[in-house]
Amino acid sequence: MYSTPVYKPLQWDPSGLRHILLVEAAHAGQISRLLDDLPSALSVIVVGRSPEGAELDLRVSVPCAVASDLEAGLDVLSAELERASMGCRLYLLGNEHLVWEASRRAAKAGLGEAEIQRERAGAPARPMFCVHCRTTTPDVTATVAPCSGCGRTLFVRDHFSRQLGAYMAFQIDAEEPGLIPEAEPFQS
Amino acid sequence: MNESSFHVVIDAVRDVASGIREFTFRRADGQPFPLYSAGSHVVVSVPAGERPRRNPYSLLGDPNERMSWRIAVRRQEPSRGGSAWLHEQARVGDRLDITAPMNLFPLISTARSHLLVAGGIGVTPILSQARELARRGADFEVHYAWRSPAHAAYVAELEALAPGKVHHYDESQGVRIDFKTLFAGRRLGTHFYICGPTPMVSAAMEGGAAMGWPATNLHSERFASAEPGEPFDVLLARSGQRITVPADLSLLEALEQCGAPVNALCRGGACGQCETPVLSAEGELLHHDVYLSDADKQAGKLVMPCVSRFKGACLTLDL
Repeated sequence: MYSTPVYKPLQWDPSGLRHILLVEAAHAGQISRLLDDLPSALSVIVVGRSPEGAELDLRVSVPCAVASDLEAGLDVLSAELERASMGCRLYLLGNEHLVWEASRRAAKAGLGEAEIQRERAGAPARPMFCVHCRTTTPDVTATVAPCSGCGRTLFVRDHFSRQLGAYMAFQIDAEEPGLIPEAEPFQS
Repeated sequence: MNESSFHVVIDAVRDVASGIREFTFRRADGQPFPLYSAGSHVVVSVPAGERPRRNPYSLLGDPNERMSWRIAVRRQEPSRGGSAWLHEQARVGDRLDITAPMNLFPLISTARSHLLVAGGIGVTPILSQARELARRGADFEVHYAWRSPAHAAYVAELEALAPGKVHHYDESQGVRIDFKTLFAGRRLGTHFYICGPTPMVSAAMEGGAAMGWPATNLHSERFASAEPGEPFDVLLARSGQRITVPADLSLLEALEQCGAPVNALCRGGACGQCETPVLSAEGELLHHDVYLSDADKQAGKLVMPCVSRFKGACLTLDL
């Protein structure tokens, strides 16, 4: 589907003058290839704690901001973007929920699509937006799942909203209550 | 006449700077004009000589003034007749045909800040954009470069609608825009818009790229003008017609005269509508448009007949 996000391995963008990298600590090892050739003006934000995150901290020459959870990491990101000016590039690595929550913060700060790169890490899990109660449930691993807001059993579509940072999900048994197909784990 | 074009009457003519003349039009049928968006232009048919010249001009007035539209025309040297006719022949009360507005230079509504740059006559779309941004209460700045105070059109009008936001650069005093400085330290989400001479636009685009601005935030309007040139021969492969493009006619105008199926919109080498496939060219394509990429121009498989010409034995088009 056209709206389904496409992720690519992160790559330093030499056209940028300043770079911000936000990574999920558990998957920091996935970008070790980037660490041999660091851009000069770089800030690193690590979300969560893990041996991989600690190693990343050791390998980059700049001090890393380590945030205990996503919310704290996003606040550090917002503060960084507040200080940034045109010429900035943002690199995101983590699960889809992290990548898109950070993207929403970046968009709010004025960053455009050409200034953001996204690489997905970890097992496939989607943030799901309930079209009935408008609650986003992060990290849903299969096509049918309960809404964390209203409890309805939802079917997760491939239709993705960048504005909401989540896949659209609707009640699967609205027409025939109780008729719920088997959940299929996300493959990608 | 349908709503894609209008019969207009010249209501007022005045000189706004050296070599720049402003025309105010009203509709011949007395009806109000439609609304248009900031950055729009119209194509004016000028009855110079036996064949009309059609030139694009930005609408520079207030879109809410529905009874009149304003354009400003700089006299081109050399002129194929269009701007010269408007400067020398056009009088109040004369009738002309103009197209409905088109916009190839719109403001980006999601931008958090706008940086506008005008060079010379390029002030015309910038004036309409500045007026719209002031109306919206948006964050913006205007940087306006002119050859000398005598060439500086609309300085007072610009100042009045954006007090304190207009910066002037007088080239006769050696003051030029340093684009790297201009692009530095701008807040995230700023969009840049420039209308001016090609070397100035190129310098701006290079400056923007050097300061890390993505191409998505750099906008330009560069109308090339259909300049006169040497006559050349064209073979239309599908219809088998052979035509000679005279010195004072553009390739597009010559194609239109012989009824070749070619569409056109801006007539200034900017919009891409008249893109025509080239089958063979025994000679050199003289690309004057700003639409085709350098690679496309090099490849020589496409031509924009509104402004581009040919030098050589024969140009064969897939028409």
